[in-house]
Amino acid sequence: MTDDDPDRPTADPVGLEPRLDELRAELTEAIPDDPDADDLGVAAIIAQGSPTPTTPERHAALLTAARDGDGSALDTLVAELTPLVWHVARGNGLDQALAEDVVQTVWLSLLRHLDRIAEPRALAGWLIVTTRREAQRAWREANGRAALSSDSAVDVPDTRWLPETEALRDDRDRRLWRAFAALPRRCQELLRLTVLAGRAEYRAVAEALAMPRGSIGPTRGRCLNTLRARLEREGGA
Amino acid sequence: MPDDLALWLDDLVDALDPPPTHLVDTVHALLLIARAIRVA
Repeated sequence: MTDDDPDRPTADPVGLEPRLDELRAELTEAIPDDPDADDLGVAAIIAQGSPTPTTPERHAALLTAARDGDGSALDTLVAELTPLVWHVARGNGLDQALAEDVVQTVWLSLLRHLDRIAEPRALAGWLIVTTRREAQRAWREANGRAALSSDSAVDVPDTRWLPETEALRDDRDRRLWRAFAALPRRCQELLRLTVLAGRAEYRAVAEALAMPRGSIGPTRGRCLNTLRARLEREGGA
Repeated sequence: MPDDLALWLDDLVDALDPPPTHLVDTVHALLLIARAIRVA
């Protein structure tokens, strides 16, 4: 076979290279370059294996059934996704009582908007965004002034709502809770959601936080480093 | 420490700050009432 041979196979006979390049770019974006900066990060979370690719489709099917009047489908969604809604509310600075109110409000809102959710596969994202909005409204009402925007909350520690002390099992947990509660609110929300991501749709979490997927891991790493630094200062590490 | 923190963060979600056990039942009841009102 020579270079002039018309039967010589080309390097990319069916045009796969552009698609392969896209996939390589997606992988590069999804997996951080420096694993040390993200020791609990995206790759590890994805590797935990719980988020099956079919979860969004299953939730979409349940939502469609609920639209058709299937009450048990809606109940299943409530049972599976209430932990997600709960941790968004708690991660936005609400105490337990206010968080319970917000969870109920969000599910009632879903019932009202069942027919208006344009993309049923994005249900988890819709719940996160709605919960954040409701949590900020509830926080404003409870505190009598405008809630911090998500952006400004990045740099302002929230020390008002310590977790309920009766839930703490020992002194070490108390120190961890105190350090966690002193993190910027955005960090608290991100850490809660990325732990939950093993059970929820990680991509929906990333989209709902309005962060590029590639930046979630490094941001999470910085939040964890801040938490470690606080613990070490307290001698709790 | 990273492993300890990872375990503690899991605890945060699973054991230390889970949704109250009654919450899902409360929401179920609330939605049942709301659907009944919508139908009526």
